[in-house]
Amino acid sequence: MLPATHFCLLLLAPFALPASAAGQLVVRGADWSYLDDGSDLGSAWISPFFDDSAWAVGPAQFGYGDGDEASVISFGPDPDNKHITTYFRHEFQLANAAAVQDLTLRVQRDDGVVVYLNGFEVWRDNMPTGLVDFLTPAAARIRGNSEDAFLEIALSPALLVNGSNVIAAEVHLFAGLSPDLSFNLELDDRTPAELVRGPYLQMVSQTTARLRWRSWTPQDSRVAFGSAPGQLGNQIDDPALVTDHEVELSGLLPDSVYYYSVGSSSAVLAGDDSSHLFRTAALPGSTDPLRFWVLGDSGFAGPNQRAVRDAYSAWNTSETDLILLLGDNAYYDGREEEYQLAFFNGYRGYLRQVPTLSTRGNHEKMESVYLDAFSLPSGAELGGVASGSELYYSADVGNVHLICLDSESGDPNPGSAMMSWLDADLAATDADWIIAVWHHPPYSRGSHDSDLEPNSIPMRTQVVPVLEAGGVDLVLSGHSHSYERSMLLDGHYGLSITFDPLQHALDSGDGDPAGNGAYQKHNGAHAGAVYVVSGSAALTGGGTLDHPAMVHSAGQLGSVVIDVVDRSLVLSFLRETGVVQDTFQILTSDAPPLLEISGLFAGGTATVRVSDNPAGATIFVAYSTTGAGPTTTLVGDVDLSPPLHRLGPYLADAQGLVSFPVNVPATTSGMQVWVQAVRLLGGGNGILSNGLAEVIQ
Amino acid sequence: MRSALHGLVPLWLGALLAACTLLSMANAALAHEGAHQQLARANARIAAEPGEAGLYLQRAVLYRLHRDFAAAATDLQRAALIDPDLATLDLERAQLAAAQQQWLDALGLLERYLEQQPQDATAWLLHGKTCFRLQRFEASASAYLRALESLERAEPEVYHRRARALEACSTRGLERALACAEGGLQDLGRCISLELLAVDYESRLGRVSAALQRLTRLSAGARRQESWRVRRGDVLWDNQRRGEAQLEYRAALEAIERLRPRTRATAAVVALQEHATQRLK
Repeated sequence: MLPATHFCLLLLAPFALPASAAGQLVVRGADWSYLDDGSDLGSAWISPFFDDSAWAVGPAQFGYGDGDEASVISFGPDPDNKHITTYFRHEFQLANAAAVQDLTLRVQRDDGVVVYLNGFEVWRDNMPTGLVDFLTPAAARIRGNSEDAFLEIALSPALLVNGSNVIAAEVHLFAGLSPDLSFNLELDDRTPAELVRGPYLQMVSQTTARLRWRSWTPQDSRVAFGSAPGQLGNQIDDPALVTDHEVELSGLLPDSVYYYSVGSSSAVLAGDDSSHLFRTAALPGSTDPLRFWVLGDSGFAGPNQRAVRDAYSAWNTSETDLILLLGDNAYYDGREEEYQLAFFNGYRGYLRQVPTLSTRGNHEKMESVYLDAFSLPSGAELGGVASGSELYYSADVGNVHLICLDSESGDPNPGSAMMSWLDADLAATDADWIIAVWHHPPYSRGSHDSDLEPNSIPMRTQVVPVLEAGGVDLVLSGHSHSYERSMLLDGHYGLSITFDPLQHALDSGDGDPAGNGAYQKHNGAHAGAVYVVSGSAALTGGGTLDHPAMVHSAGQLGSVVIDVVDRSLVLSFLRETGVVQDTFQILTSDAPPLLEISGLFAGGTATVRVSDNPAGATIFVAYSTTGAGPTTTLVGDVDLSPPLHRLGPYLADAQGLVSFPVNVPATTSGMQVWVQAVRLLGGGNGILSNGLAEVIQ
Repeated sequence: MRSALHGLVPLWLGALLAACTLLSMANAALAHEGAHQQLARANARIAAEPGEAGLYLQRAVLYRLHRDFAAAATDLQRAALIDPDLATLDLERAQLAAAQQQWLDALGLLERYLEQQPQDATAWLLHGKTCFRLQRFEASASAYLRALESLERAEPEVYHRRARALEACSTRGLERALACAEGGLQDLGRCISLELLAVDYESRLGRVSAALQRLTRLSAGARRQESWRVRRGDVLWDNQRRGEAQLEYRAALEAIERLRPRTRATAAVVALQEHATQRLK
């Protein structure tokens, strides 16, 4: 965890999305006011002072008929005679209009459009020249891919003013019978020396970190870093003139906080303040607390994404060590502009402080910029075994070994490159925890059914057996836009109809310490894993949500938070409302508990102490006054003779300790007592402590 | 007023810098939806634009992925009727033929397509797979080489497949496969799957020292040694050096005993232990 001073700085960091991202005055997907009732507004509505407070508000893209709209608008009561004209207005703030030297407008329109900036027409497309009114049709029908195209034009920045600016647009159909309408718009300030993207952190190890950012114009790169803002005494320069900057810092100290700035040899573009900082990874074997924030299918910019993000910002009170992305980080195709809007703008405040690791989704195919956007550890830069691929890799984070697999295009057959690497990687790790991530869930009945999904089936039938044999503890996937999470499972590789809780569930409880109790993994060949689908960080929908292996299924927005403290892993599903809707805990331990008794005097109070447990473990203590057994019980042969007397259950504290007083009757002096403790594990198993044979004084 | 405003717009603004974002509708259709929703969406788009050949092609992809091959073929025929010159028509036809294991048909379509699109890495990959299934291993290896030349980023899997194809060639197959694995390592840097592939070829070529040296290098500094010991044992065993192999298997069993209980109990380690124990009998 960060020291208190750093912790305060983190809380003050500006996590919320600014009114417009760096360089972007109006982003695609921005909220607009709109009027879709077919009214004749005349010309007053284009004024920056027009009162549009009675208009509806929603995020772009607007339209109907294509299915890809963020806001579906009305075309009126008659589908054969749709409203010809729909009106849009958007206000944005500008602190220094004079500084904008290069302004670019991009518009998606179907069919025709006229755009106004601060009351002046700046562009029209596919509209007749001259006066247009609310019944003027577009000049031609827009078809096919042209419906989705963004047309680009350079605008004069002279129309911009300090403070409030208003951009307005009217979209016209070609005819009342037209099947669809689309509108989206972005306005970019491309003035040189402004940041387009970042800075954002990648591949932070114990001694290295990479900082990346994008500038509008080619520049050289400079990163300065140090122990406090204003004291950035270290500097790394790269003279190459580039727009995509990537600088590796090396020679860092483990588990240390660094502040930084990025820019060029001539200007600092960002940083040297309290919000640009990161912490290097702890040394191997560290059991310091870890927190991972897991975002699945987060790639739709808009109010849902913001609500999920802001709920975490409000709820989280500790340092986030890693953001884990489960794929589909930018809809629809993971292209540049989609990544800019949905990922780099959407999570900007986090990305400069917290490193990310990601798996590829089905919306990040070959044409996606996915591999350009991230620096991923194909060469075992963060631990693990080198895969030679950024599509599948591993990383050690504290006492967690993360395995990222490619369910989109990776070959799951034995002997393939990915599976050969996976075998070697599992054989190399001795971390306390193994967490695997990929996009297509092995078990789901959300918006995708894992019985039918072509990419889910081989992951379940061919990859899950390998992971279970290697001791995986937790598997995270997205793809279905829901939250679903399983019991403690093992050996379920078939269709959902073949799921048998007696055969496949090692613990069919809810795993909630406040419910049925934590899942406790014993040391065995198949000790079980929990499978989580978390694909609702920006959108929800679909499916019956009734997979029989699941304990909890919810078609609701949210993200997942994982807290690892030594041998305890707690996973929480945090709704966009800020409510934790589901929690479970997994406990593991190698060592048997240690039983000790002190103060065993007749008429006194003895203290029973059971240590070497995972935090939260469930402990029973049994004793006998007749002998040292052995007696066969459900948890093994105990060193006690019947009848057995039981004390507990007790929950181990954060240090793994159970300690409680026992009143010893005054009449027991000289009596012998045999005592043994057991720590309960999942599936009715347990680990026995040492046995004690004591004489009461 | 509108016309007056329009008069303020410079004429040069009419010269648009068209930046067409060619959103792939196929990918959009494969969005966040189940199979039925994806198809329903594709159907709706075709209903709205029945004359767009590309939409039928995109729906054919959906049908193929969900193994409705007859419907996919019908859509491809429709697409061809509307626009016989549609660029990726032959590639999708080849994909459909390959999905039905009609490898000869796939090969013909691919060869026709690749004459027009010789830089299409996806097509070369499918060509390599098709030739392999037809046991035309030299052609398969050549196709994978073309794929590697066309790919912006080479993946280890392509080297694996090319090596498998070379391995099956009658002339110096193992040597060429080993060279392929080495070439992949030169291109990609550290990559355990190619290293292990190279160990396998070195072992099968009888180059025991090279294989053992590679394993020594790979296992240097590894916290867990048991799997490396077993690999060394297997190389020696397969090359009839059974005494030395058994020393390695014993070392593996000792390494397993030193593992923490949780790791030692995993099924993968238990299987390794059984393998080593069996070889000591």
